[in-house]
Amino acid sequence: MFKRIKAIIKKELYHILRDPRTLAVIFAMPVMMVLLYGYALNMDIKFIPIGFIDYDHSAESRALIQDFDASEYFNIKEFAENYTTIDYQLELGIIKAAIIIPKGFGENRKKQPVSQIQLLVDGSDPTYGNAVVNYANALVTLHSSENQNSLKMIPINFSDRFLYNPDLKGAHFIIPGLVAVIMMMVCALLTSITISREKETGTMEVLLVSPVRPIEIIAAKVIPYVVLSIIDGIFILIFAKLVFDIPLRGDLVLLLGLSILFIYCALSIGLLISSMASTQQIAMMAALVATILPSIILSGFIFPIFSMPAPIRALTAIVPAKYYMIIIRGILLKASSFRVVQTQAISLVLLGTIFLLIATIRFKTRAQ
Amino acid sequence: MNNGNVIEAQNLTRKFGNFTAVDSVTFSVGKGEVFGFLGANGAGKSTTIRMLTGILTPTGGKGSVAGFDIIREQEKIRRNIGYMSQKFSLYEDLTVEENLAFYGGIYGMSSKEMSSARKRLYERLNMGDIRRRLAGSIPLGWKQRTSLACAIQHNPRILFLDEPTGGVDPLSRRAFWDIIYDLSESGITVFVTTHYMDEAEYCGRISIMHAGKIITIGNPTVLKKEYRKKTIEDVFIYLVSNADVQTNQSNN
Repeated sequence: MFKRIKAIIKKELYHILRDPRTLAVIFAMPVMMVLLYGYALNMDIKFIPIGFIDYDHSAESRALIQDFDASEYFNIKEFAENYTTIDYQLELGIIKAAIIIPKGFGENRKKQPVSQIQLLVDGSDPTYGNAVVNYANALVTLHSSENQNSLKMIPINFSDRFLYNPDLKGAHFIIPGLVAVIMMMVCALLTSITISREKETGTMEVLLVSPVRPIEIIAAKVIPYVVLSIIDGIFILIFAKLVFDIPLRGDLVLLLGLSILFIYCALSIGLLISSMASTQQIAMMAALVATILPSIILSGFIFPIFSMPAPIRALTAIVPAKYYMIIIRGILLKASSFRVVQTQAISLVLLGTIFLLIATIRFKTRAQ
Repeated sequence: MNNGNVIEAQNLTRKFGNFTAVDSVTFSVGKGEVFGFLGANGAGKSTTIRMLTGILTPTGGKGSVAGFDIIREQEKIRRNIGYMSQKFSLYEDLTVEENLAFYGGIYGMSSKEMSSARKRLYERLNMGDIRRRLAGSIPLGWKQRTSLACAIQHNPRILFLDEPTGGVDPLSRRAFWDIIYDLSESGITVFVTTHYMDEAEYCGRISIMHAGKIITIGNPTVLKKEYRKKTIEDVFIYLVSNADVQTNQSNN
């Protein structure tokens, strides 16, 4: 039995090492994705282009504008005279927001407890728009507390502190999640392709007539990909530490153990796909739709699950990456213990077993 | 059941739902025989081979291969047979030698056994020059030979060949059959399906299958005499169209 498995693993390594496409998925893809997601998908928004209409022209209004100008979050593109210009520039996308300071703002500030200015935001990109509102609010609050005229009025201030990711760096959130996406890709996609390739070329037929047991074929076929996906995962974490300075706080042994549960899930899905697909093309498409896309879109990798509509939120329950995201982010950023992520761990075991059972049943019925 | 025959089938039947792919076939093949299994596409040849090699369980009847029951002892059968499919089933990104090493490995051969088997096969099949080339880059005739080498290197008692000469040029086909004769002389039983009727003439005995049933079985020369035809092709056409007429009459 050991001899037979060894022979298949050896052959599988030849396939991997001689196929540029497989090599690209295993080695080039993680590098590319880490760089793309780490740098290009930068959710730390800076230099927001804004415009101002200052109807007041007072010392107070100038002080406020000065603060916006000094902030690295905003980049003042335009001082307009009237609303039409601003409207036009918002429409063209030259500016993403506009602040309108009404006449009498400076006078008001001296007498009234509350003064108002208007903020117009381009809401076509809601995430961006929200960020703009938050930054503008924070800046105005800071400004008004610093330029306090009357001592009678002491505003309540949050002394806020962000836990786990104090600088709110997007990369800290995204890169650990990438481990899930890459592992899913290597395990589910490549395993299903390698099995359907044997069916397509007719070599599976010869394997089935040989003394090799089906379970040995499958074991030998998945082992190389399991090892490679663990190497990929470790590689991404080293990269994360060195390039993005992501802390890696928790217990890495615990992370490895729970990663194996995730790999188990990914492999089960890969086998399920290959039990249905007869050609490599079909397997690739199915793996893309059934594993990669959900792992990116429905896992909380980028888009928060709690803000999805209820039916979609329910659908995320069968996306293994959802649970693994919580595990890997929890362990790396919050140093979570097993107790904290045990629900997710159990979910992975259950999901993996369900997928594996369906795959086994499908293989059996097809073999007859 | 075992009386010198290495393959036996008794009323072997396989149904898929309502469709009967193989309908109660009975035949036997003796040791060292070259047995040709003829029939049009869809006649039930492949289904029969799959039952004999233990990939498919029969729904009726019984059979044995190399003395082992095809229903209960499939694993023992697999260790004693070699199988070559019509697609030649080589890994194109592996060299000829790596393909041989792989198939040797899955039959549990030690590397010592393999290297002596390889040495013998390279000489016998005259393929020493291509052993380091990728299987995907060699001509079809050589692929066929490599595929055969993979199927016989573990010294099987019975060799199953499923349309082994498809798409190969006449010269290579001839050379291939010479090797088949050699193997048969050394005591290996060869069970071969084909739809090249001229190849059927090379077989010791043939059976013609039609619509799941074996409609005739015997030595090619004897069959030609019996039906008073010049070639096996004529015998085949005569029998198959006759069988069709009979089915139509019974249906009416």
